[in-house]
Amino acid sequence: MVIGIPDVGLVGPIATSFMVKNLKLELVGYLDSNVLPPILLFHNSEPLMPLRFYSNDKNLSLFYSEIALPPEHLYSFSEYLLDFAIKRGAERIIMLGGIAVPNRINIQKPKVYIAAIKEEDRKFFSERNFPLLKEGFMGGAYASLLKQCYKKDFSGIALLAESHLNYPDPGAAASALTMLASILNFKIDIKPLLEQEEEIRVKLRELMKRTIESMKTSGKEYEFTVPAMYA
Amino acid sequence: MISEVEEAMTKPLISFERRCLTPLYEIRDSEDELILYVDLPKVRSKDDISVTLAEDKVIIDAKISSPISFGDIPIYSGQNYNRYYAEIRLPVPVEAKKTRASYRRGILEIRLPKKIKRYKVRIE
Repeated sequence: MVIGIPDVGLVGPIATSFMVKNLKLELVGYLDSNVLPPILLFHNSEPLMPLRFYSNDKNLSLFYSEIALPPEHLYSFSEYLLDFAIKRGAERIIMLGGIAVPNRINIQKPKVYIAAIKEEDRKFFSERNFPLLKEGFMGGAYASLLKQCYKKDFSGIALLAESHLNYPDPGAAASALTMLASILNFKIDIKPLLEQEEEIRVKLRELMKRTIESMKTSGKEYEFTVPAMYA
Repeated sequence: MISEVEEAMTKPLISFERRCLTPLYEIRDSEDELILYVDLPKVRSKDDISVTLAEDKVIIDAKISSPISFGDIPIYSGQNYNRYYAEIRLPVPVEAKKTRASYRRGILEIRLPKKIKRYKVRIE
């Protein structure tokens, strides 16, 4: 199951929303809870839940959130989502996200780091020269999901593209998608995404603002912290 | 301060009256200068951007190359937006005359040297 949740650079929602449109995935369900804010979305006059599941007939499922998740409920959310994925027969979860780099403006093609829980996954990526995230804290929704994977010994993989911290970053989303396509062996043309880059940056400003607020209390600040084990 | 933050959170990033969008920005703080980054997608060149320093704030006014429509979302009132405008309050005084700006790949970078006099304190 591929997962896109608002986080650094909005890489997850930009990438998964593009996948839904371009791979013609079908809406198959939603996730709702009394801890989520009272928000409902309308598109072409039809109501849509903000947290939705999509799928195709080729063994690909996707979870996509239109809203920043409340930091205080990330634990229960992650626990529920992972249990659900396991019950539905998912082999692994792959999260699409960003990792903030201060010199992003100078980077033409963002590099994608892979954080993987299971040793066999790390070996798989290492043998293919995919760059693994080797050191440092991870915080936020994806860290919470990876913790659940660790506890349940389940395959959890986060693809983290170098990204702007505070601005929507379609270029980073394109890099994460390219990496995902090469891992899952499917074809996706990212050219339309790059062509719409500026339009996306303008239109996702509000979601970016809400996400920054949510990130402030979700452990993201730890990503700038050097672990005590290095002292 | 709290009310300022609350206001920023609840206020949309547009001004209907001015027909302009509020850009996202961040301020980085180094020893000698503040570095202000402003995200200005769809602004074609530096000639379309005006940067003004006024006491404790920077005023950004930029022309968007092609008007932006947000479709039928009611808060945008069906009108097109063709400018960015922001008044950004600075946390410390800066040297206006030494301030430099550059614009690359849709991001405006403004380097504002801090107006600080340093006094070495003797440790007894």
